[in-house]
Order: sequence, then C-alpha cells, then structure tokens
Amino acid sequence: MIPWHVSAQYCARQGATEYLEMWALLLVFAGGAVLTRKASRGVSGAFVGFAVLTGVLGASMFYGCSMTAASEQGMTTDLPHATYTILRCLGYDVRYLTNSWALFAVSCAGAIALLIFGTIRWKRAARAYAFTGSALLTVAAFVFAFFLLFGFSWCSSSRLF
Amino acid sequence: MVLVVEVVLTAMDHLASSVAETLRTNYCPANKAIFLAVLGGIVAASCAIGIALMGRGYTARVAGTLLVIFAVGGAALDLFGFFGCGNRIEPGLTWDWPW
Repeated sequence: MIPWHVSAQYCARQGATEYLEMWALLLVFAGGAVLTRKASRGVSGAFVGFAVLTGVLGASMFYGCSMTAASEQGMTTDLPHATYTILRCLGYDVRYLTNSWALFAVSCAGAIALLIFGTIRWKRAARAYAFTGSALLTVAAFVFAFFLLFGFSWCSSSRLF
Repeated sequence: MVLVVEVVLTAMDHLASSVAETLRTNYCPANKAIFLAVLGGIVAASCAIGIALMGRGYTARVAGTLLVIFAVGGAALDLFGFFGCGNRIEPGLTWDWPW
C-alpha cells in the first residue's frame, strides 16, 4: 500500500494553485465576517457560512484527491465503488470545482452586498443600480451553481469511467 | 500455491513501489533552491506588508492579519507538498512556482 502522506503531498503539489485560491477565499470571507460583525449580524453570519463551506469544500477536495491518487496511477483500492466515485470526482478536477465555487460564492456575496447597499441608500438612481446589480449577480450565482452541480453530477454518474 | 502467492505479492510490491515513485516525482520543482528562494521571498514580502498594515486602522489591521495568515498557511501547504518530492523529477510535470 502507498502511505497516505505520499498521496497527500502529491495532491498538495498537483493542486497547489487551487488550494491556495480556496485558502484565500476562506480568509476573505472570514475577514468580511469580522468587518461586518458590528454593522449587520446577518451579513456577518452569511460570510461565516461561506467561509465554512469554502473550508469544507477545500478539505473535501484534498481528501478526495489523496484517497484516489494512488489508484489513479494503477494501484488497487479497497473503497466501495460509490465512495470511490464521489472521492474521485471531488479530487480529480479541482480547478473546475474551485473556479465554479469561487464564482458562485463571490456572486452571492456581491448580490447580498448590493442588496444591503440599495436598502440603505436613499437616492433613487443609486438604489436602482444597486438592485439591478444585485439581481444580475443573483442570476449569475444560479448559473455558476448550475455549472458546479452539473460538473459534479456528470462525474458522479460514472459516464466517464 | 505458495509460489503463486509469492509471485502475486512480489508483483504488488513492485507496483506499489512504482506508483509511490511516480507520486514522488510528479509536479516537483526543477530546481529546489530556486523554488525555496522564491517561496521564501513571497512569504517574507507578504508578511512584511501584512505587519505594516497592522499599525493602521481597524480595517487595515484585519487585512494585514489575514495577509500574514494567508502567507504562513500557503507556505505550509507548499512546503508540505515540496517535502514529498523524491530525488528526481518527471519531465513535463514540473512545479516551478509556489502557486
């Protein structure tokens, strides 16, 4: 058997850019939560939620890659097929997952920010721009969420194996 | 029967060694000294900027702290992967920058 740390170190090198991107995104959301803590507890909570989800997704991608890296190179695996498929889909195309998630999370955060901005601004033009931008970012978030879920579902459907 | 088992186990050992070697040679820096120098430079610059920001207002202090945490965490991840490299690299699958 291949020691786990050998696979984990291989995954850290292979997906270094993406894991750093997720790490940066997590910290940006954490910073947003700290900065908006006094202004709005709801927005701060939303930032905390995005930070936690970013961390969970990043850790899952790393775990998925490290658990399937050796079998991708030809080793046998003891994992059940369904478990293996999910782990492989999490760890195989980390660039796609990372970029989809980053675009989705940033669109959501931007939509929330513009919605709040539009609520507290009293000038009609500024409010109109803010609400329009928020609506567009919400649509964009749905599109990115679709790509994220579609990519993972396509991979999980075993069509590619 | 014992001979067959031994043959299979030997083949599995060879396969495991080969795969481990592949995992240790893929995506490794072509020049480890340059890689470490670039990584150290980026981390030092990020920490310096972060510490400089900490002396300012509340928002800048938060940003500076996050920058330092990012630099230290990113360096830890890079070094974790870097120390998994063996003595040789796989041509075409190199990793010459910390990102």
